[in-house]
Amino acid sequence: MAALYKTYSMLVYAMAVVAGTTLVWLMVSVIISVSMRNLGLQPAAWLFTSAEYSILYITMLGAPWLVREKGHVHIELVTSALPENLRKVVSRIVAVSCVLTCLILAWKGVDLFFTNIERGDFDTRAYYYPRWLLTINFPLSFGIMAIEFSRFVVGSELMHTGEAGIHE
Amino acid sequence: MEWYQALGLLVGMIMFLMAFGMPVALAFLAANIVGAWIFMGGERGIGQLLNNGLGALTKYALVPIPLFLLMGEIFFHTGLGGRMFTAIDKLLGKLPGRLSYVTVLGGTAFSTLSGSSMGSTALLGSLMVPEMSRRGYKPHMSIGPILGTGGLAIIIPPSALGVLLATLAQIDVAALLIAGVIPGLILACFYIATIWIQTKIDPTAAPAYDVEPMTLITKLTLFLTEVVPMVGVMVTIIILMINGFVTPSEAAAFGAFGVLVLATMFRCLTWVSIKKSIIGALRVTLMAYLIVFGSATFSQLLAFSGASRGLVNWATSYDLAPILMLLVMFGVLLLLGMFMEQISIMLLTVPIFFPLAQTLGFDLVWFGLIMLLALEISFTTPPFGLLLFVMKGVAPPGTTMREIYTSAFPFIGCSLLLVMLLVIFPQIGLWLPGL
Repeated sequence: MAALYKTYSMLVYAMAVVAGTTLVWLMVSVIISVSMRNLGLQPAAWLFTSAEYSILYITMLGAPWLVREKGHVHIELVTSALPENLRKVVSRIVAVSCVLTCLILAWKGVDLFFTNIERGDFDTRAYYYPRWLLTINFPLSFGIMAIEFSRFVVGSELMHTGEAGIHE
Repeated sequence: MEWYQALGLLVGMIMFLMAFGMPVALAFLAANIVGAWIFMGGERGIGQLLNNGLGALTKYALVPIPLFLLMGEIFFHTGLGGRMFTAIDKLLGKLPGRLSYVTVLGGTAFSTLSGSSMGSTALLGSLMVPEMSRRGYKPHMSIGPILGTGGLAIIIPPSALGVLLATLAQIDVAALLIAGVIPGLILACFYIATIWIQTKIDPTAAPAYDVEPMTLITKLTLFLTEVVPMVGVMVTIIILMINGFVTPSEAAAFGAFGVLVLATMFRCLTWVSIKKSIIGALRVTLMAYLIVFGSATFSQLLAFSGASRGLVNWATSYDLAPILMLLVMFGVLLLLGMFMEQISIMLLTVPIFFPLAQTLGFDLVWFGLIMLLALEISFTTPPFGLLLFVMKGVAPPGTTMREIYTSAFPFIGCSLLLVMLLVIFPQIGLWLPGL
């Protein structure tokens, strides 16, 4: 069990590392494009397309890590006014709502992913890019986000501190 | 379903979930799921939500957001920001209220470069407030300017929030960024005037003290080596954007790269600072992008349910003067800003306010600027303005929320004055992008 948890945690962090590296790639790809243009060369179209796809990959691969880090911005308005015991209950109910939201999106993401494979859909920009390589992000990201939020449902740690204000 | 019921359901659900502490991005997604189920054909609607999200998150126009943030984070974590700040401090010499001016001048440059109001408020708060307290400054002279300049970051480019607003509202990103330059500088001047008036009214609020004298040559060297390079990066990318040499995405990439080069030259680039900068930029980017993920569906839901058209028709049926409508929208933004953060406010209001602004004949870049200013003011509006809490976190122990609130008011007044000027003289904002 411990080994499974360790592997899973490594996956969450590995996805975040890919997201961070992709963010740096955004900068590099734009700089290469502009440099090529100024040298009188035609910038490769995939540089532009890769930047567009990077935005999706950054978001989906990094989002589960942000849940683990409690980095998703939330507002403590009601929870700060509640007595501690009630706050704990409300906090766990909110976490359940987050799990449900993510599970619904993961479930429809699986649907979309298989539909794209069955139909052989392509995303048509400068190149034909298999669409499932994009939509696979949805079940992966929302599925892991659901697991991460479920830690605040059953784990000892709560999502909310009880301190009024906007938290991130 | 009537348009007002649909609007109430969609907006009400988001507000309800957010009030109960659901993460902002998840609250939007949950409301989108319910809305898509009702207005977009059940299960198929949720599939559409994902497809819309895919479309929204593969747009090149979003590229500047993480890069502006990365630029600011590198500036912050490598210590370049601190160096520039110390240099400005030394350059000002003996002056009543000196440290308050230092905060505005250094803070304007710093918060603009850092692009993150929270980051700069935290840094300025922890750097300046203890020193000012030690020198006998009253709390309003230390906390007020920091809160004011922290909010400037949102309008002076490079502003990640500016890019996000332009993307959501589908207006020219470069035009909105450039439009913020002159109003931002005017606002910084207003802040300086406010401090001057405050020190005239009560000289004991910010007493003058002796500082080590410096020769002109030393000052000039300090200015050229510690201030010019940092501010130069920002000025260069703004000029390149104004001239149309680079797009906002290119400006952001070169800005981040430029700060990296500077940090290497100043020998303050470390692996730790790079890692911290990437993590910092990633955190804000993820939140912004996840909200953008739901934004296309939210706009569609408002359109499909007839809510946006119904609201625009209803609002214009009263035949109110456009200026009054602007006031109402401004008021709504300030009200929302009292308990929500900026990106959520944008997503909630952009699909409603921009069609309305267009119907009323407003210039959309000008309106975007007014909206950014409203968001900037809401940053510091009690009771939940985000910067107020950041300030509470870094201010010396014993600082009360009341002191922080009262310190913020004169600077909120300055911003309101700027909004009035922009309404009377729209060219303040529109002249530069029109060149």
